Amino acid sequence: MFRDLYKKANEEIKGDRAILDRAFLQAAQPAKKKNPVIKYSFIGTAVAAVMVLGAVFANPNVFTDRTENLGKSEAVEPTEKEMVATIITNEADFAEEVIEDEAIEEKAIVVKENIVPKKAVTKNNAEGNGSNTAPVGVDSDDGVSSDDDDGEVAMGEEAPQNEYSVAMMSLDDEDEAVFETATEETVIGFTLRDRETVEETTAETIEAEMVEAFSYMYDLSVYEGITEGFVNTDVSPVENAEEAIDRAKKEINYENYKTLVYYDIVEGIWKITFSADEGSQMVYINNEGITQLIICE
Amino acid sequence: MLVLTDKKAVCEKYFDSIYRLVLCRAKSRDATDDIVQEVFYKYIKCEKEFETEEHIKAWLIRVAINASNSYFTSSWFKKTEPLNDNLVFDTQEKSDVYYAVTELPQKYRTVIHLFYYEDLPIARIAEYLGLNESTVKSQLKRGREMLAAKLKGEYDYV
Repeated sequence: MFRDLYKKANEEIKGDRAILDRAFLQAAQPAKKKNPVIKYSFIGTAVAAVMVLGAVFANPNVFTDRTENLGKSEAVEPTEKEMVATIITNEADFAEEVIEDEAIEEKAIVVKENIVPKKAVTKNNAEGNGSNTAPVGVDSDDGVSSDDDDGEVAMGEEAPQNEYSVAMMSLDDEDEAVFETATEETVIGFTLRDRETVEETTAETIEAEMVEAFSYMYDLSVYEGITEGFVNTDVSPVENAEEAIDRAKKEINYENYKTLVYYDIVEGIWKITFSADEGSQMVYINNEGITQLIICE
Repeated sequence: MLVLTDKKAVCEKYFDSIYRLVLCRAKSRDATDDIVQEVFYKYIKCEKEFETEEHIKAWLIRVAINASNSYFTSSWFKKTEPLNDNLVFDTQEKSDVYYAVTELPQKYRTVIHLFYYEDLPIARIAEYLGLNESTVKSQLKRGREMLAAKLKGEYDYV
């Protein structure tokens, strides 16, 4: 019979029993986790989205078109402070954001005091070759830069002593372009000393933000300095480098200087180094703003 | 619910039966090994409560058919050429009968195997394969005719 033969033929077929062992072993292993990459990429995307939204809420102007701001600034006449900030940025090549309002005010005063009005002399004109660039002059009425056609104070004429500071600062479309050219190719209103003053003062602001560590105990063991007769004897807590510099300034007599700030986290002592042509002084003040030591070199 | 030791006993009991069914369909020992392992892995992991051993056997046959169908439709199976495993039988008659069945189209040989080896009634075969009884009957009839042609009518297909 077919049935019997087929059954007997199948009875002779034996499978490998190791298959069962493998099946049990496979079942004993923990189930494979679902692909974590998808899960984590989703979480990462969600976190990134939250961060972006947080940034937008924290600073609504983050996506504002800069050209819109340009339009606004052109519509409103800039103040003297803004114009000084502009020239500092242009001359010293620092970002405008770095300079805070107080620093700008100080620099404005410094620039005003030190500027010696000069004739607007272009490089080309100085060489006697004529100029393709419109020379920058000083407007005696409104302080707006003007060219020869204005018939007012122009290249080669002496500018009035008291109207120098904003003469080069006009931000009208046409005059602004002239000013940019002038800063590249001409020397107007600034002596070399003025420029150094601006750079040094700005550098002071920058350096004050970078506080390095030092050891007050080591300095005490190495240097001999003044330990009494200080100006800073009242409590005025110092919390950052700028406050430390402001506090330490009261102890020195230098006018033009560079500063470096250090901090001893163990002793809680600020060390402000003032370097000037006359020499250098190191002022040590504690966190309460009281001067502890002054070392002169 | 069966504990693991009971499951092992069940696996041992039905291993050969399932293996032969799958081999009849796959015609390759390598493929059969993979499919059978998959079947028993599913059984071990299965938390279903079976009422009788017959119920377990029916479940294993159903899973074996589904697993082999999945294997045949997989890209792996389509891209590979199965090796011809030469099964050796002690008599020529057995060999002729067995190879005559394996040379049938798959749907016919599955029905033939379940009917002649597992001794399953047509209604049960229809249930396992998800077919109508009439379909199973016609496939069985067609399979017998093809076997008769191959074996030259020497056997009684009762």
